[in-house]
Amino acid sequence: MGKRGERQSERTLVCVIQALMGLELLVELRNDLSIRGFLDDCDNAMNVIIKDAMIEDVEGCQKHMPLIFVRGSNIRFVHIPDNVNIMQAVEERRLVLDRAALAYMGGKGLAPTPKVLETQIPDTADAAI
Amino acid sequence: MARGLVSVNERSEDGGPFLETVNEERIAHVQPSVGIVLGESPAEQPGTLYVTTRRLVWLSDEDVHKGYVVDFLSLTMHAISRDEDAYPQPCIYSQIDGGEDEDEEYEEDGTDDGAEEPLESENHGSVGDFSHVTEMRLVPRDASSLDHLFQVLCDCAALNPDPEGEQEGEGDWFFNEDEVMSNVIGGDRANNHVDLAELLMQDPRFEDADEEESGT
Repeated sequence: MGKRGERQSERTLVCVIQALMGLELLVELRNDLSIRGFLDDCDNAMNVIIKDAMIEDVEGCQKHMPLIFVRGSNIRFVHIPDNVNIMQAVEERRLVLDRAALAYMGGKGLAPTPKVLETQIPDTADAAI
Repeated sequence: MARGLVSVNERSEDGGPFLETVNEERIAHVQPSVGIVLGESPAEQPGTLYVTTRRLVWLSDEDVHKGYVVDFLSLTMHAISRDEDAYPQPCIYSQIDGGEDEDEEYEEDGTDDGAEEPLESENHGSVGDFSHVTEMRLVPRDASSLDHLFQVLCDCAALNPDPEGEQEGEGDWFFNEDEVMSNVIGGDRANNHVDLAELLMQDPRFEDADEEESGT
């Protein structure tokens, strides 16, 4: 596939965080707040929306918020969950985007669905090499 | 560029805020009957919230000279809060970065059209007075509007990306979790540096030359 690195998001590490969409993670902000919740969205500026979140401040005081938007520049760390294979997640997301782009352009590629992806990853990996 | 919360005492004839046409600022959403809570202060209400493509403006319904404005670059986060322990009414909770490390004498030289309060006004240094505000809550009388208001704030925040090169600490690399969690960046390496210094101290090659020796 020729699209590696052509997307703006793939030129920075934001694509790593975008690969974590839908998963539960911990975000630490530059003002020492930590937010644990499900990553609902992440844009190319690394602005994130976290769902069902628990915010904890330096004093340990916790508040629950159903939806939080955090400005990307305010993020210090995004803790990747231990059970996530991040390289695979990034690669899977890239494939989904490639197929979506192909489908959108009326190409012969299939529109992406998670089931299709699971069975086809080994084949595609071979083809790419 | 983040300026934090600023008070505003002027408004246009239609009751809304002055828009900065140089930035093509437009009003994205108007929410009436909104209270505003700055930090730990009591709620100020009633007021009207104007969400523009650049800033968040709250104007008091009762006092035409009272209002607050914060630009989206300063809004580091916003959230829907329904936790009654945090605040009794459902509201939008947000944090403001006042940019306090910047010069407090910050002044816009007539590039705006008067929407921001100039420092020479009678509210001596009120710009400084509000830059310490780091938490703000917006409490609409209609709690069902919170979801839409949250989304509008997300959309408008996304319209205001940080200018290039404003990131602090960009390019710092951390290599492992221990380093991160111990919060002492290079803590292990500091020990190495100490050893190296000791090594240098003891090496005779680095001793000062004896002055008695004269070149022959």
